[in-house]
Amino acid sequence: MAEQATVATTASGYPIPDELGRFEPLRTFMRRFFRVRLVRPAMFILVAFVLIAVFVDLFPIPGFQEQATDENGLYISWQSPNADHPFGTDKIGRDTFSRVLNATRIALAVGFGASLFGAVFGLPIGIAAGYARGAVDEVLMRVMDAVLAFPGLILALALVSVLGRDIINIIIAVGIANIPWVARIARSMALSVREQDYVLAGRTIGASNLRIMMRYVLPNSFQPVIVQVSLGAGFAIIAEAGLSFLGLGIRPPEPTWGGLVSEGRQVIITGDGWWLWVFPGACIALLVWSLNIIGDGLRDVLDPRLRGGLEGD
Amino acid sequence: MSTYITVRVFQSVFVIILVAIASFAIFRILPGDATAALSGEGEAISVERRLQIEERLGLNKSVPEQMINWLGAIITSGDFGRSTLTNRSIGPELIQRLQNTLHVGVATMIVGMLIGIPAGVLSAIKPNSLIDRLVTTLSVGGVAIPDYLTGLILILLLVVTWDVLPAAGFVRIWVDPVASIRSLVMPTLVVGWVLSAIVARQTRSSMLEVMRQDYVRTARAKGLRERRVIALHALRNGLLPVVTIVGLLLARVFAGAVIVEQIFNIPGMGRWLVQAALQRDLLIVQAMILVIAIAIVIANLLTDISYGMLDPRIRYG
Repeated sequence: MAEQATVATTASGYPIPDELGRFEPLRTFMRRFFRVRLVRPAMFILVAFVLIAVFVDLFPIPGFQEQATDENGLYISWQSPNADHPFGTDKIGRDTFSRVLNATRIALAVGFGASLFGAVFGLPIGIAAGYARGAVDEVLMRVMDAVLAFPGLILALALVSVLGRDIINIIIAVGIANIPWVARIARSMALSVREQDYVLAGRTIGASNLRIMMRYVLPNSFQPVIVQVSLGAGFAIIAEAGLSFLGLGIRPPEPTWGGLVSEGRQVIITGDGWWLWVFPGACIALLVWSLNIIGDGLRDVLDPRLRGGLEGD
Repeated sequence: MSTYITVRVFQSVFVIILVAIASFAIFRILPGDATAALSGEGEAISVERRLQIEERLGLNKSVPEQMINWLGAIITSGDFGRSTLTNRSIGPELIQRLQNTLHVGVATMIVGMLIGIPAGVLSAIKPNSLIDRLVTTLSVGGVAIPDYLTGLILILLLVVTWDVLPAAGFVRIWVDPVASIRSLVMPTLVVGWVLSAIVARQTRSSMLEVMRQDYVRTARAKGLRERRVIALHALRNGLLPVVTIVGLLLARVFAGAVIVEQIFNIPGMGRWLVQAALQRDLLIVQAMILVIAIAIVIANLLTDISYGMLDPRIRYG
């Protein structure tokens, strides 16, 4: 453990600056982050899903629309999991394993797309509100309250019914619900940063409000917003799968986890076809769980005071 | 205290106005042909038909005028307009469905509290014990498992495998209590399980806070049994902050209703909302998101105010 000797830490693991007053921020951060309980398995799951999404085309599996047939040309349908089809097949012989893996792309794209969408719009709103205070703050935050009054899935559902169902619209529809959470966090950071001496110093040498917001307030808001991006991605994945489950997501035959669960639901009463929904359902739960653990872990490491946020939504 | 209430009431009124504007505006940012979309008739409609529709839906007026007419009719006569597909009046059906949703929702909240409060108390009494870890693990898992997955797992176990419950349907409690409870078990567990995770977290942290207070130490010092200390001294104060999350729980109940009512075939708002969104019967969607959002704003206002009244130590700045 030679590298451990290079960064001095206190007994509780907080970094101590070296004699020149420098930290080794990234390495210390990573070490403390990976020491949080369950962060390792969670990171493993997230990385595995990202790799699947990137390289799924190279896997030696059938295409997600390919229909398996036997020697008589009949579909090999309703197969329970077996060596040829590890997650079974559906009524027209499509391989569930391939469809589950291919659906990873949509889940991650909407998950992170919607959550970044929320951050991109939430950050400036929150920073402007917290920095300006007064009437601007009041109006902006009440607008955010109004957005929060619509439960995330219901807002997404209404927006999708208006905008239509391609992937960009779904990212927007799901992402809007993330804006107020980011804005609230950015606002609270801005409120405290604007009172700091270095902001006063900046103002004394003639920095404009815009410059202070960009150079002082924005960088200080990044850390808690990263936490929210992780938690927000989990919410967005559940919401996207929910839309697909309700038939309001991305249109078939493009495979989505929610769409697969919904196909399984249609035959559940027959006691058959459990493989259609159990595997994609488990993927949703695993990915969302790992994003929640990672978000909580980041928060514990970055700033333990910032507990709260998108809990249970 | 009274200035706080006044400020919160004014804020909420402002938010409700914004919510109303938003509910309306969402449906005027329609890409393409608004008349065709709102009438549900597609874009290949004749000019006369188009004029008729615009007349009937009031689309020939300016947008602010349309909004004022829409809101005015709702406020003055509870008239939410008519379904563009069936031409049936939205208001009466909305009330029916709201009742069903709230019926299931109240039962869900009770289930969430019945599981969540004991779980939170138990884990706060012995922090880091086995039970505390179990509750924490389950409550992190609880929010990660989506409603549709829990619902299908329950159906697979309780209907398909053991055949102890009806697969779907909904009976009101005062019609037939037994059938009602049987029909409510799965729908309330699906969302109640998530609520219990939220309630348990809140209960745990507020109980931990209370257990550190001087009056708990005093109670222990005068020789009370731990059980009595918890039940009589800690619990009452420890449960107060749980009130603050009722608004959050209601929002979760409405969001869950969309999924649960679909799976279990309950004729509530959630199911109607999904059907209307699928058929692009946008006036129904518009009416419903307005009602849901206002209900949540009011619930949040009431919980904030009641918390201040229940706990006189709370002083708002």
